[in-house]
Amino acid sequence: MTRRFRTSTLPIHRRLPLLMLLACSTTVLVASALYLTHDMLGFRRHMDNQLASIARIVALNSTAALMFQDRDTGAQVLTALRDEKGIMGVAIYGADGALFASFEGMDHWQAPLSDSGDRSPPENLAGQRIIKHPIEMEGETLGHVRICASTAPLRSHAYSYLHFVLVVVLAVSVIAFYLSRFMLGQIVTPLAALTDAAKSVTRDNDYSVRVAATQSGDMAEVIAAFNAMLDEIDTNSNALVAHQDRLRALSQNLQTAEENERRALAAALHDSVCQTLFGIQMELSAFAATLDGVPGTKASIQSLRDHVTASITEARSITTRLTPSGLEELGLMSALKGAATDLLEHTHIDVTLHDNSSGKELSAKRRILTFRCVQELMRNISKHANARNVMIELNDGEGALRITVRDDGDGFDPETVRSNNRTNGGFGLFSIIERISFAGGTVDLASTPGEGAAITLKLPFAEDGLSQAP
Amino acid sequence: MWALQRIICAIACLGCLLWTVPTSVADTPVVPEYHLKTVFLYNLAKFVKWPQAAVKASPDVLRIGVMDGTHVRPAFPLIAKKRVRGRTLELRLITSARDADDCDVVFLNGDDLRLIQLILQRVRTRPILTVGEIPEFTDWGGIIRFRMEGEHTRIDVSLENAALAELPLKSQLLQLCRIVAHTKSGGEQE
Repeated sequence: MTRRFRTSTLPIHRRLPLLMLLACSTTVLVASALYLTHDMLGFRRHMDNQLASIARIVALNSTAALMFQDRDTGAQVLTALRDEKGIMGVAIYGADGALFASFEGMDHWQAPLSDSGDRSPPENLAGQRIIKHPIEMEGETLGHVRICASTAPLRSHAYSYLHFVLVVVLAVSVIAFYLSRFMLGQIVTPLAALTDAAKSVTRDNDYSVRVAATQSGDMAEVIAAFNAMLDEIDTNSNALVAHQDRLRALSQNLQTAEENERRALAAALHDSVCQTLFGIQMELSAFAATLDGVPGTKASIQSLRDHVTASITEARSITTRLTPSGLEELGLMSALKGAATDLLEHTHIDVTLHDNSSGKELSAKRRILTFRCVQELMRNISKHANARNVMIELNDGEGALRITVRDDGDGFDPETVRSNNRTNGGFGLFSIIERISFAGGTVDLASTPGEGAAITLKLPFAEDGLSQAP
Repeated sequence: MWALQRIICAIACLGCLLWTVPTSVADTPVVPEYHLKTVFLYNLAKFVKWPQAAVKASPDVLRIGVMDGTHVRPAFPLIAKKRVRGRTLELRLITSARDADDCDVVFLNGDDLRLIQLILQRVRTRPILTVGEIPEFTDWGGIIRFRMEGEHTRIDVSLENAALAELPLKSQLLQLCRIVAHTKSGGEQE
């Protein structure tokens, strides 16, 4: 398995020196390659010129020898080149191409010189540079000089230059690395501080973090802009939190007012309408007794009594819905039973209650809050969950009461609710979470689409400042 | 019988071999002596820095005089079409000392030593390149002498005589030559 190396995965304090190192090394290498090419071409040109000069000198010195067919003198002329560095062989050829004189050991040049013009360009042959030059006298070509030089100096020059380039590249790389580390510290350090600050803000939602501006220039401007952004976010965040707190308090007040209004309405129904209807029922009973024996009256009176009784029952039902019966006197469990019975009557959803608590009660306000939240959950289940069974379970411990409402309905995606997506009836749950949170409690949502849901409300017995909000 | 045939074959092969070797040697081109010397005359003329006066006197023709044309004349066609600094070559026969006056190069070959001496005395201070073969040639005032060294023709040069004739020789020529000095006894000294 091969892993591709990518500089983008490296931290910036490593990536920047590496990129600078690569840039410097590549630049030096390319420049060296170009210079080497130029130098080698120049060196070869110089070598060719040198060979051509030697050939010209040999041609001049061997003119007479060639004209007078003095091979000894011709050989003597060549002998002078024996100690010339790099010269591997020199030969003089007559006008007919036959060998006239040569170095000893150049026997393989005995063959007549091919006619390839008086001045053929230098040719390369197995590490040798061969040049041919005419021997002329007053415009007449008397013969040719052929010189063979080793290209070893050329190679040696290239190798020595390559070694030099290698050392230079190494030195430049080391210098570039340390210089870049030194110089990039001025960029990387503020960037690292910015990164740390950004991480801290993301992790802790702490907008009070600021990056210290230690220098002037572009980075100082970036840091100043970053800090200004944090200032703005901090200010807006604080304003938002304060606004949310005010909204929660307002909501709480509205709920309290609503509860008070409901209670007043329920009291009025109970003390006024119900009492009146009860009196009418009593009066009708007495009136029926006086008309006993009068034909046709009994059925009518009985019908009237039935209507009054139904009205009394309806008034009581409304009273119960307005103020859960027994919540204040008999406690939360009793009120939940009433709500469960009511749900069963209206929806045919079977509600089971399990009280595993120690019997310790919440404060009156929290009882109402808890009851309303459970009532809201049950209403949600009846409207959206397509559930057949609901189980309400009470537990306490660690100074808090936990109520779990479990159903076998369609379920939902808890993340959608947590992300405040209030479409498709999500506002109910959002409202519950907000209200319980404001009271110092928590709401745990556990559900998988298609597999029902379990929502646990946890409220501490102890009141805190938030629940006392006006 | 077979042994006899083998011996005959071996002798035949050996004969062929011996016949071939001299044939190969014989095939090697041997330039006749005077052909070579004639060409050398032309070459020598090229290595002389001719004075302006001599060139002006005969700007188109370079005259080569020979005492004995027996050997030189047949070889002259070899150089007849050549030129020395634009001057065509012309061959003249020298029968008297006066004949040498109009020549640029005189080749004093032949056996008439008295005539050789006369000519040399006559042209000694003139820009005429004198070439000879006899051993006393440079002592008598000649500039260049052909000397045979085995099969090779070598060149002796007297720089004193060349200077006297105001004929500077090119250094390339001097590389090949043996420079000789005069001796009082009439011999030569290297």
